[in-house]
Amino acid sequence: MPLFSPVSSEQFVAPPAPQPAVLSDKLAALSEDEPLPEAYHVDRIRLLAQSPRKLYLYWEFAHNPLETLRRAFGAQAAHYTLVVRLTNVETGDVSWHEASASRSQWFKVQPGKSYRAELGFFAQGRAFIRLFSSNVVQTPRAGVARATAVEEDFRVSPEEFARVLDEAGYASDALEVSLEAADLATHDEATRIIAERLGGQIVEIGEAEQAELRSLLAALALGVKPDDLSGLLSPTLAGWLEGVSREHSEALRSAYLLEILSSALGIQTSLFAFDEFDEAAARRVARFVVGASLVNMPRRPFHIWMPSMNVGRLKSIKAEV
Amino acid sequence: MPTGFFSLILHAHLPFVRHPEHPEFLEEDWLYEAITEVYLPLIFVFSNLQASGAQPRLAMNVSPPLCEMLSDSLLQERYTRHLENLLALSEKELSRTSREAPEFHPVARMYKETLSAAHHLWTTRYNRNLVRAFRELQDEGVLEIITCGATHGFLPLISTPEAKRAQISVAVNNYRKHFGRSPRGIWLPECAYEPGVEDLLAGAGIEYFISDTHAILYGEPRPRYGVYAPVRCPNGVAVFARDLETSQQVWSSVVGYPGHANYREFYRDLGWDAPLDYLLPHLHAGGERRHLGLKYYRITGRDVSQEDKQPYNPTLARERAAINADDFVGKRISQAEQLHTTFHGRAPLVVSPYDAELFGHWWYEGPQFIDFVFRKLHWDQQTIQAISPGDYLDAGVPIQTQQPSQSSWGEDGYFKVWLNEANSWMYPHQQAAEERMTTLANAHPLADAPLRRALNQAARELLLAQSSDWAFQIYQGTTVEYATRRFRSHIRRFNALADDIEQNRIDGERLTEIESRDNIFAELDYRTYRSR
Repeated sequence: MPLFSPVSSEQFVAPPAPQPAVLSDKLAALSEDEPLPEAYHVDRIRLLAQSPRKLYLYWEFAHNPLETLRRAFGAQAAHYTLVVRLTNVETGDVSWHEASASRSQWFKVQPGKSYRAELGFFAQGRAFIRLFSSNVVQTPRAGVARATAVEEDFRVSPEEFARVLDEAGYASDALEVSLEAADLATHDEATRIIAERLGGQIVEIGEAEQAELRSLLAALALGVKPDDLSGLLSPTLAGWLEGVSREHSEALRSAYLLEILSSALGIQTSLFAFDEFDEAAARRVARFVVGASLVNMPRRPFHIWMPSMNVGRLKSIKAEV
Repeated sequence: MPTGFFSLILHAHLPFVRHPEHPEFLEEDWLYEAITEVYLPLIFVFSNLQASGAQPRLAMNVSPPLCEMLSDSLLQERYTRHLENLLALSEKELSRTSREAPEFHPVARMYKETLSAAHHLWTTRYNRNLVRAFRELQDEGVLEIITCGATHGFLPLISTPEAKRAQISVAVNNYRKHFGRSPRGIWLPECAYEPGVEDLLAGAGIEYFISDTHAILYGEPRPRYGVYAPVRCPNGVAVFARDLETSQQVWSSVVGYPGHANYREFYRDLGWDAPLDYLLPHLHAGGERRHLGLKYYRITGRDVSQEDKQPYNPTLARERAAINADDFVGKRISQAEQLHTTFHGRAPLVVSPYDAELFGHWWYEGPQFIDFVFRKLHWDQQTIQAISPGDYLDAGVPIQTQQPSQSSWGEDGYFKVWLNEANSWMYPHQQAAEERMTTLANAHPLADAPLRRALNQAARELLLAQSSDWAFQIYQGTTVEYATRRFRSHIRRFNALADDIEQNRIDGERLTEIESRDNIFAELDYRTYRSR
């Protein structure tokens, strides 16, 4: 039976006539339909961190700096371009970007680093003419910190921390920290040895790259595509990944990697019950629940943890390789 | 001593929407729907739990804009009309379904009963004052009410220290006005944290805040107990982070509870199902269809089309809520036991923060679920104990010191939802106003009326422009036009007032008009924006 019969027996009642909106002339001048002013005619430059790998910069000038440049340099001004110099404050690494005509732009950066943007004029073979310098922003960390607590009560070993991360549903980080535990147990070699089992040789790498390799293996094991990672890696690891992708692409399949990690670390793959978070559903919720967020859910929030590290087994992997 | 602790935290927030210039306004329905479906049912559930001796205990944020709307006489009057209109419709539906659609008659009866109960609570029990209802629940020890940003401003994207501080200080003053005490905790808007926020909180006397999971998991040094214990920032302010497992159980319509076939289907609403001429007396004057909250179908199945949905059965849905509550409590018990072992005998704390509007609006049976959860926690087990974050701090358990990591609870865990290609155009305007507000406040340390009124109103316009809701809605692509208009209107009003103040030529008539529309925070003092 339908909820409604084709013609309802209820009588039609006319609604009250619409009342005109009471709009004050005083506010009609402050129209909400018109765009806001293009500029406020002040000197302003502001850098904002959006995510671990993305920054947003906007600026405006009180006066057109190109005119000042022309007055100072005459015809030579034509050689200059307005650019953004982006500096990693800790390392001093610099990247140059042509400034966008829209007076705002996005930059790809690294997690957990501090950046400053400077706007100025650049010409080949000449000194950079700095106009403005932005605030310094710190990009968020994209993974776990390295340091453990000094106080004994709160000190945590990599193995214990991996378990805590797993309990919390942070599978990818749990896997990464469990590799760190393996490295500790085997004097910094387990991750590299596991990686070499995928094919391709990794030349000597430092501590930072060892950590990066752990993240890389964890990401691949959890199904991240190599193409999505290539821009994020150091040259050594990008080269290795490219080589493996080219010659042994089948080795980069999540299932194969998990099998290797399972045999090396004792991961219980039977516990894998990955279920994609229903993003579409979250969007629907948010659509009708004003103020609700698209709540952050790591893509694969299910347990993967291994019962315990078998150091003897880890050490034997080297022999197998 | 229980094996573990469980802390439910509800975040009740809606942006400030009040349009006295229009006799009816669609977006005001957000508040009216939430009162009927969420706030009244939750108040009803908590009061009954308390009266029955179940000793419910949880934290709840009632955001400052929500407190202000719930206390506004115009909106109270309009909600009364809204509710009485629904009640009239439900009475009409009762007789219609008995004649024409008996399969749906039990549902129509349910609406008649719940709307009558809502009407009684609204008019008689609480005399239209729900802030008082929340305050009573706090005074009785059921709720630990926490505050939020004054207008839910996204703190990491606010440019000046003065404007960040104002979001906190205005919120704390407003909390005192409504709840007669100072807040112990805060729900950071969108759980957005950046290092340094804790100093603003400490300055306002706030002891703790709620964060997303990775604020602690990615914090430095590594958290010994993950998110199953709070940490303290180096300045002593405590942080309680979200447990993912409990989030998933309520948020996800696939692996979570709300997707069950017996629960009420959100998308089939009488406002769209009934013939227009039947509905017209209950619609706004323009006669456009809209959600009315009378929904007659159940989810039926994940892949069932909207046309094939089956009639809702309130009894079966209630049974399912009880089953889910049983499962939820059971999982908390095993989670607590597991973590207790992992932590060598230390009792874990599971923190479960949710948008309050999920319970009742999106998940219609959510308030019943909460009711069952607290009953089971109290009477059916002794392994876990429900507490508030403040209770945990009072227990004196040693807490690790850590610098939490920058984060939010939005999609992908950082600031993308509020800063992206669709809404980045907002920040130059907002941030220009933030700088200008402090310049004006510094220039006028002791303003008299009408200058003081203009400065206070400029501060209100800035605060309203900062609501994270606008950037969120623009990113979502749902109510883009309204959000854009609201943002523009507050920036324009701010700029006009700031021009007047700078020229020392206050347009009194315009000021009065703006004050009458954007009347949030009557107690506000612009001097909160002064540099220190």
